[in-house]
Amino acid sequence: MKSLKKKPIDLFENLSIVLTGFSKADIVGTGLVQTYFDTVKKELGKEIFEAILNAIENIKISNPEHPSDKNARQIKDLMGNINFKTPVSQIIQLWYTGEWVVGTFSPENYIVSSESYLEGLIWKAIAAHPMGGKQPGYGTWGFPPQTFTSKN
Amino acid sequence: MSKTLESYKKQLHDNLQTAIELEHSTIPPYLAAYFTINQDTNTFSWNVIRSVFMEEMLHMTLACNIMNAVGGHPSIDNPKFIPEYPTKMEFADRKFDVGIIKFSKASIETFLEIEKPSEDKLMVRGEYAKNLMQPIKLKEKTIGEFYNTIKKQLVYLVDTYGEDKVFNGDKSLQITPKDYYGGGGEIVVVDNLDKALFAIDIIVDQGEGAAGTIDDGDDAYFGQDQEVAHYFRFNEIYLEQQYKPTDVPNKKPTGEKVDVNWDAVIDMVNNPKASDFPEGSPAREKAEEFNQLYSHFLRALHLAFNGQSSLIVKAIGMMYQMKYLAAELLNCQVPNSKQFAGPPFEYIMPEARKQYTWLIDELIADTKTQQN
Repeated sequence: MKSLKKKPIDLFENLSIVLTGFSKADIVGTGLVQTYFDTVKKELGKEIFEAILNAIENIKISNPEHPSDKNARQIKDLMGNINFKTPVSQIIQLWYTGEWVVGTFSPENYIVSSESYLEGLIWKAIAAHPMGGKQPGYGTWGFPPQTFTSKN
Repeated sequence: MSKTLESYKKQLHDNLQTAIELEHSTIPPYLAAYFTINQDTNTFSWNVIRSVFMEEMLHMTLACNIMNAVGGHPSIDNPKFIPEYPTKMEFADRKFDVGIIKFSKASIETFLEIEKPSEDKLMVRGEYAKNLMQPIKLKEKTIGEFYNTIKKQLVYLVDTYGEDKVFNGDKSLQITPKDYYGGGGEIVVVDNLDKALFAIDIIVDQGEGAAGTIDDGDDAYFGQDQEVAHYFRFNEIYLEQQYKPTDVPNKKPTGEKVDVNWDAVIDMVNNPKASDFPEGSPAREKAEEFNQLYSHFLRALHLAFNGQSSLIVKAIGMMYQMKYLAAELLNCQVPNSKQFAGPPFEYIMPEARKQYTWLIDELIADTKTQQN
């Protein structure tokens, strides 16, 4: 990762924020940034991983949680890039499901760890809880999702 | 006649409010120890601390039932309800800091101070002294002795004014086993002196042991397996050895050795506060979210203990949510530090709270209608 100026793990964190649409606090709060950094590096190989991090570094995002219009276009280009399209979608699926996905129903797909299953962002996104873990409390399924909204 | 039933009752209500606050104030420190260890690397301690705070939640609920039974009203959504940690706990013979700190020898030492058993014999049912009614400022030596004072007040008042005048609370305000599930023993519906004394016995025996023993009484009260009281459970962690059923309070445990891993602990900052963390940092964002949820949770509890008992279900759901948020906080490193953030348990005034979907007024009203 010699070509990178910033710390690779910080770039990966920014990449994860822009790809998932979740806040830095939510990403860091999973406790899985380092685990996923290692997983992605291992699975993609150093070369392609470094190229993606290089691309995100070059975009120079000032605020990954609220990218400017220009940044948003650049991120979209990156996601559409023929070389990056598959790995980027794998990273998104990893964050949302905790699974490294090689292909639909591929026997090579695997859940990274029990934590990665529990911390899948999909559960937050749909305001549900992972089946068999993080129990929400008896009877709470009778209520609408609990969220904070700003007062009108 | 300088004192009237009303003035006596005011004292009793003040003491019960103190009891409710006391029970609640122990929970954040216990939770901090619990959240910073892992079930796999500290199985014994994890289970012990969990069993204790579940029982503290039962104690708080029982204290609320007693308060409602004697015509008082628990006040929970209130800035004075929560201490600012670290707080001082003061008994007749000792004063010590209680804080939100990670699992450690020091935190278990504090827990032992909190749950210290009485050396003096506490009142057993039917035995009481008259004219002991006077204001209390935790001038007792233990929590058990403090509850003993409440018992004496209750007995004195019933003796002087009759049970109907003392236990004149609205019965619909009681939390029943139907509302409360799954933790720490069964809830007691309090509508007379006997039930009130029984509820206090549960609280005291679970905390410091039944009548000069290490036993918590749950086997007799709830048909559970025999287990030792909070003080002795914490002592098992501290001394890394379990009690045998035949062991006695003043001697060291002689049972099986316990595996305690003092190093497999998340390095949480002491007494975390949201404002300690830089704005925009994950630690700050999650700490503020935690405080928002905690403050709404206190409102849910307040409403539940003041007539809308079905809100307990939501309050428990919110407790789980706080647990998951605490786990997220403990993944957030404090900027420019090697330590991690933790749950602050800070009160946010109602007007500064975000709107929370579970406690929107219409939904609360809905719950009330369904209940009636």
